[in-house]
Amino acid sequence: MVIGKKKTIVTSDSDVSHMFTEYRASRAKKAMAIILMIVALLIASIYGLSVGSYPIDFVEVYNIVIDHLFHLDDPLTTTDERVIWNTRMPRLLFAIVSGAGLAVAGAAMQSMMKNPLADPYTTGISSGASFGAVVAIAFGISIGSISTGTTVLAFFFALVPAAVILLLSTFKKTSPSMMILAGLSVMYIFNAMTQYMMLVVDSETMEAAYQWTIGTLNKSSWSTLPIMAIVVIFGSLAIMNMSKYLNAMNSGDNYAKTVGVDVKRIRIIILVLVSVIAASIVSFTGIIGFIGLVSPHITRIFLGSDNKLLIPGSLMVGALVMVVCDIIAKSFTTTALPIGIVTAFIGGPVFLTLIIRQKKEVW
Amino acid sequence: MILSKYKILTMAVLAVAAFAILAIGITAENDAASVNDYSSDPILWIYGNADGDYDIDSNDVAVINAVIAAGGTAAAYPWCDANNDGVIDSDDATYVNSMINGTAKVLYYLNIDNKVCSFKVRDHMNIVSVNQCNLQTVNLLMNKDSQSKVVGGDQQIYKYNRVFNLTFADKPANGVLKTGEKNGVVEDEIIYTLEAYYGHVEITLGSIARYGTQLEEKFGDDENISIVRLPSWEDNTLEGVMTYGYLFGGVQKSTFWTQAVAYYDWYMKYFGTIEKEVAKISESARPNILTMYVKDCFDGATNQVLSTTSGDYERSELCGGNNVGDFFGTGYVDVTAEDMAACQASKGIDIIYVEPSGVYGDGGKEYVTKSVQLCIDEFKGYISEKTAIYSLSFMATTAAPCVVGYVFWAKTMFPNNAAFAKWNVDDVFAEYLAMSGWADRTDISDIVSYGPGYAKEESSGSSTTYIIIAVVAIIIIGGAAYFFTRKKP
Repeated sequence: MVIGKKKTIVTSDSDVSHMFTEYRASRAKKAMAIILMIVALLIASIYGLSVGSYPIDFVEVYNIVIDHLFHLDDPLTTTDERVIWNTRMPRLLFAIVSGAGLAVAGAAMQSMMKNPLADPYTTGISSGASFGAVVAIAFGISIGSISTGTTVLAFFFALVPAAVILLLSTFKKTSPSMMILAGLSVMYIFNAMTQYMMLVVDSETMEAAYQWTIGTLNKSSWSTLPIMAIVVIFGSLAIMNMSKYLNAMNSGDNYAKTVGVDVKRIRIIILVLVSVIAASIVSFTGIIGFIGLVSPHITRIFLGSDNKLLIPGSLMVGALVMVVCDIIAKSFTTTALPIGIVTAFIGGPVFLTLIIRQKKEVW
Repeated sequence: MILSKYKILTMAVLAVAAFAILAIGITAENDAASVNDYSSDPILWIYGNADGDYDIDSNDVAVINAVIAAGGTAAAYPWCDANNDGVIDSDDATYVNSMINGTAKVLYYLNIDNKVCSFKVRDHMNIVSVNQCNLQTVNLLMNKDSQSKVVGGDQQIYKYNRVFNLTFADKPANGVLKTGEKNGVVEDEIIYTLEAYYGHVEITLGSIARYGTQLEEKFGDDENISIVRLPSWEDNTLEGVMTYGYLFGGVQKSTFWTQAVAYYDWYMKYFGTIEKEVAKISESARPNILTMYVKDCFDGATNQVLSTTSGDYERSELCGGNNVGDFFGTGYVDVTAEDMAACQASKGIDIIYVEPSGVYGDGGKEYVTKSVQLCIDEFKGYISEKTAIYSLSFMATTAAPCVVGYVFWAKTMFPNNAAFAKWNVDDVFAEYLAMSGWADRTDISDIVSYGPGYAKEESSGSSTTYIIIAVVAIIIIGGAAYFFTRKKP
């Protein structure tokens, strides 16, 4: 009997039962890891709701939450209630949803491209979104309001790189390298256009456009959360549903084809899903880096590379990392730091550590 | 010879230290040569203004003579060094006399970046003005000068050209610079062409940190191109107006200078009174105020509070308010509704002044009204229902017309003050328009302010727009994905 690359000859029932024991232990470890991730996310979320510039006692925070949960139709009458329910609660959920979405998108990209450096922005989404936002701010494009116009344009321009890759796929084979190169080309074009816009606009507009690119959760609200949540939830479920194809593609395109996977089609579908998820997040939050890159790597340490576990695991880790970063962002100054800065500060060293310590066979 | 690693390390440390000492020495020497620190804050930033007031006259000569008699040095009395030779002697008194009798050829002044600069006295100006605030100052000063003209500006000025209604030279190429803003990209050829056509050009703008960062590098050695950096909204507006006025017309006693003096009188008529009245008011009786931009009424997409260190000089705290913007930090600070609630709980906010933007000319009333409503919608429930929210046209708060803002803020902060009650904001604005030569214009709104509004009105918000757009986007993407991935027969 051959198992994996090592040729192991099974000679007795004790060897078989030993293997099953190891397998069960491995499954138990992974189950424990998943439970720990859920618990950690819960603890971080509970604590995160109590952190903010407006002083409210921890116990009072949860009195308000529980009371309002049972009386959802009652209006909010005090500033404490408004701060908890209208400001911090949507912000917390925003952090969870955006972190989860970016992490799932990052995991899918890394699996699809077989590239550990892939993240949701690899195909140029961030540069497209930046350009859309700068255009909206510079020309004062208003759809209901300037901030809505900014969000809408950022969303549509974020999808342009994916559209370019889709178009190219009709002429060329959609290999991972083709996607990355096409994404890079589009990124350079958008960056050039964005830089030109920044040169010609006045200083206040340039400052506003720059602030948008940093990445912030300050735009969270009950009206914007459902849109992002719907896209992220359905997109993530679709990606999870395709995890078996991603597993096959992990072993190489040729192997995947032999087991009946339409590699080109799957790749394009994943690209579209990742683009829509990332675009929906970026258009509301600006560019928050490292979550999509680092979360899948952290998840692999505990759950391995099986996408059936990796994708949902990344979802939880991404949400957890984003909530923790938001707590840090709110803790240092009276006004919260832009979260994009915090994720970059933390993500960089964490990623370096992972590179140094990560075992190659995880890939 | 093989050096041990310790010797190499020691040599490296010594080399770095030596380089650092050399760098400090060079830098310090250059600083001493180019920057003059001044111990008092004169109104006119011209060397020779020994008494620190707004004019150069015989009093300055008397002060210089007194300093000479007392053996004073240029380091201790920098403004007495009229000829900028580093020594205070009779030559300085002679120099001031030449400024008084109109024969001085060069003036020495301190610019907004604390650098000592020289300016060649001219009989008229060909001005390239960078930024609309600077243009407001320049326009007011040259209103009655028939020879001087604005020959160019940056693109931001052309955005508001309709309002300023200034004739730019149609030769050459309308004198439009590339953006002279923060990144300082300037069309060299435009400046040189203007110089060739007009003989000399005076580029007027603010600090090098914000405007035309490359100008000195490109044109600093050209004696026919003067780069004059003085405040129009940064630092002290009055001092900027007076210094521009003296540089451009003080020696010649031209209309530039008479306009500057008229501006001074107008400014002090209101601000002098405000200062006197506010001095009588105790700290506890002063309202807590915030000045801010609210998202969507400004080109930006965030709420920004201006603290006392924002760099904008025409701040409402000058009129007696306690600016609680420092609660959020320094400079321009991005704030959320919760941050506002925190400030309300900690300090209390009595008045919010919302600054709209882009309010030059028509649409002024719409902008100020909208600004107040946006503030209410954004912060309702997070600030007190008693917090009064006002908005004032951007044009009335910045640069030369800032006096209009002072009057508005003083009246709204102290509505029971008898001196302030006599003033009418629209009348003050009309006085500014008359001084600028714009009294007959019909395209500048006569409504400059709105308020108070209070954060208790109901507001509604809808995410329908987002939902529709998201659904459309998903359908488009899904359709495209299906088109590209369907199995072809």
